[in-house]
Amino acid sequence: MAEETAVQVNNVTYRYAEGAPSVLSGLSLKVEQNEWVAITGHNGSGKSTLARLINGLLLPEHGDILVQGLNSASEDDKVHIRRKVGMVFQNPDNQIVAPTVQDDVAFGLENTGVDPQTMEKRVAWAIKAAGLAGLEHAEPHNLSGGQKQRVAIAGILALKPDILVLDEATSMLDPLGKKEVMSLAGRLHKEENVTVISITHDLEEVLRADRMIVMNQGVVTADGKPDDVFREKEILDRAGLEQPFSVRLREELARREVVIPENAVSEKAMVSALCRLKHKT
Amino acid sequence: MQIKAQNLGFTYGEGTPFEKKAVSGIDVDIPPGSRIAVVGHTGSGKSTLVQHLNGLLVPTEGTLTVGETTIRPGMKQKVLHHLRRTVGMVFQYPEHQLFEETVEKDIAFAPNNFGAGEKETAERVRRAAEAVGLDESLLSRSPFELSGGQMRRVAIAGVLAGHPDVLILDEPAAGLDPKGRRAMMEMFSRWQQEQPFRSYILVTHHMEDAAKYADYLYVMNAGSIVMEGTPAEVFQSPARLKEARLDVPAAVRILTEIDGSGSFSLNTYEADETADEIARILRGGGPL
Amino acid sequence: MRSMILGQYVQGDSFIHRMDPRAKLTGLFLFLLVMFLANRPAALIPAAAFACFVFLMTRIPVRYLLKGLKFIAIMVIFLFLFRMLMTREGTVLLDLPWLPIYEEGVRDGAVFAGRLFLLMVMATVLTLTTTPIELTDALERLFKPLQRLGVPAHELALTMSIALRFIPTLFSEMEKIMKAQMARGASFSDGSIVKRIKALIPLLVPLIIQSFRRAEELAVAMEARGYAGSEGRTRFRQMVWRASDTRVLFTVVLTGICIFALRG
Repeated sequence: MAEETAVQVNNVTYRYAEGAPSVLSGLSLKVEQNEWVAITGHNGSGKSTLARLINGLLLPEHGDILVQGLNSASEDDKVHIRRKVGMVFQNPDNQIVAPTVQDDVAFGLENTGVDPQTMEKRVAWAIKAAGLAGLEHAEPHNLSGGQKQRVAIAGILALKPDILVLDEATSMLDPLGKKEVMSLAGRLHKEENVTVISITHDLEEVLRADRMIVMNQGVVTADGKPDDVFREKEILDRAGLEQPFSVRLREELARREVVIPENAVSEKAMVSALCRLKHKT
Repeated sequence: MQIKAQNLGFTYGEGTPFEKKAVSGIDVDIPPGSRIAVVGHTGSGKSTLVQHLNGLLVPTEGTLTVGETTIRPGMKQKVLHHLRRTVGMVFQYPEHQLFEETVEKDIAFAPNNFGAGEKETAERVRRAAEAVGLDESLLSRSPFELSGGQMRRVAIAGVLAGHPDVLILDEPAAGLDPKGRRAMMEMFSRWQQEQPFRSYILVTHHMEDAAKYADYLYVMNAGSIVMEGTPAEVFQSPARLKEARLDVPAAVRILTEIDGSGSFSLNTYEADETADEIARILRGGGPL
Repeated sequence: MRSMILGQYVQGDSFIHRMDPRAKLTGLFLFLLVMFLANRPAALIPAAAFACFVFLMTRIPVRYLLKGLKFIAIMVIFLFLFRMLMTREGTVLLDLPWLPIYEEGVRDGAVFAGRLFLLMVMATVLTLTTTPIELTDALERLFKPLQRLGVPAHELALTMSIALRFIPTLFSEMEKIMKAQMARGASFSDGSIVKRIKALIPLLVPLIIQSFRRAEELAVAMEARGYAGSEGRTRFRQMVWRASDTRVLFTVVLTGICIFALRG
């Protein structure tokens, strides 16, 4: 079977109201199946608009968006797209519908008309997979931010999605909550082969991605491996971003003639490279 | 404004079946002109603690002295009203507290409540707007027409216009992009340095910000202060921070791995300084 | 403050807890109907006996109920007095110069108050043993036949369920905004009434704006999760109507027959 492109955005223009400035202006990009892509840019760069366009919550003014070949503008396709694309939004409080965890996880399944027996199994499985076992009857307001976001992910997971869109899903969480959500997304990516599109301006989160896309004023200004893109200081600066600490440190070290191998990208790899250097001297 | 807490404790719903101890046995001493950070994970009690400092909560144990005022258990809320003049508070997502028709009126809310005259209020509004970098043309606009970032600055101006000596900042940069975060923190830093008696107390779980923007840290866990000291002192024990479910800044993490003896010193916790230290260690340089 | 227990839920595994919520709701409605058969206090005895019996079956401590009924009892006594004084028929029992008390009045007041009190007890039993989500679900299913007549049963139930979900969230939000405005020198507890009402504006405006934003975001999230109305929707919570549920309803009818027999 030919690998289908997960998401294809073709020359998309979007504005919120007629006469308003366009949020996206001729945006094109592709996300392959099984990729982990971080889309980043400053507040108001159009990245959240893009997320809403992907599953047909918004429709492009020009151009089109294909999700596994399905067109978001077609009413029939939209239903299928929403089953394939799961979205986690920014505010953990505003996406949980039901008064208990298990009822909320079931919400998406109820909407698609899954029979009650299958539903029960899937809900139980999704709750366990999201590490929420024991909280089935918990009420949302008693959960931590990280737990709430994992409830949202469990609700998506129950529908067995192909694509997970995290729309600044960790920006309101504390470091612990961030870790919980990111490691859950990582597990789904690896074990369930879910394509992850993470919209974020958290630099550490961007570093987890296979590929990063920088957006600025509605167009893509950089697209590539995080290590490469993070060297483009000027592009980052214009997009309201900074280099992550590890990248800046590497550059500063190079200036002091301490050279770290190209492939030592993560903090861990950098540290062990530095330790080897230390023992040599 | 000197702030001093002695054996301060607070229990929610005291005497009911829902009784819950939030903080206990807290001792802090904050002299005027301080830059303090209170760090701790969500639910560690840090928010409860700082809400005492401007009288939003009254301790159920111990005492709290702010300037000339001493607060003891059982004190009436009314007595605390004037405490709020001297200690301002920027809540998390402060843009959610905006309510007036115009930016100008919203910023004027605190000075009006604190009894500043009309002329004085107008002057304060203008200066507060300037301090947060709001263009004067925005003053007559509705705050709800502005962008999220601008709304937050309006809300902060609304606190600054109350002319506090001490500012409590509860995750003031939450949700901002990296550049916005830095700009926000630099703005508070500038505000603090304008007057020698001004202090701020930054409540955060962002350890890099705590390192960069505070001279003294209080680490909270399970309702108590478990560590305190200068950033350098606190970051010397990553294991104890981990117990409090906290991290150390990346600079400290990397340097600790390379040099287990901890004989490095950092000030800004930025990459250039870290690189200097690494270069020094690699060249076999001993302690400074 | 905590003396009102109508609307609270106490976890348990009694027969009443496990009953089909539809049966509980129908039972409450039937109970209300049969109580109208009573026209003198003595006729309410079977209803009172039934209520006691049901309450004992919930295995919730009696003391908990008594404490919680305090407020309701005061209300009921007040209504009794009001009703008694308003009725001016039959023989005069006590000829007070301003307020003569009539026999009819006492009787009428007692029946009225008794009915109301028993109804409140049973309604309390219902909420004590049924989670709000079960209740909304049951309401939705009971009213489903009326959907064809244009009663939006599903939408109403969903609205109720979302309200239940967000009430605690809104409360903590309100507390936060209140504190933020107090930190800016606002006061919610002194001054004249006009001043106090005016003081609510800085609290209510942000609260309403936030609620609208929440509603908007929630609507988007629901749409993203494939919500498109009740059509083609299945339910996670299943309800089973057992023979024992029917028997309970039958007992209510039986109580009604006893009440009828005791009519004066």
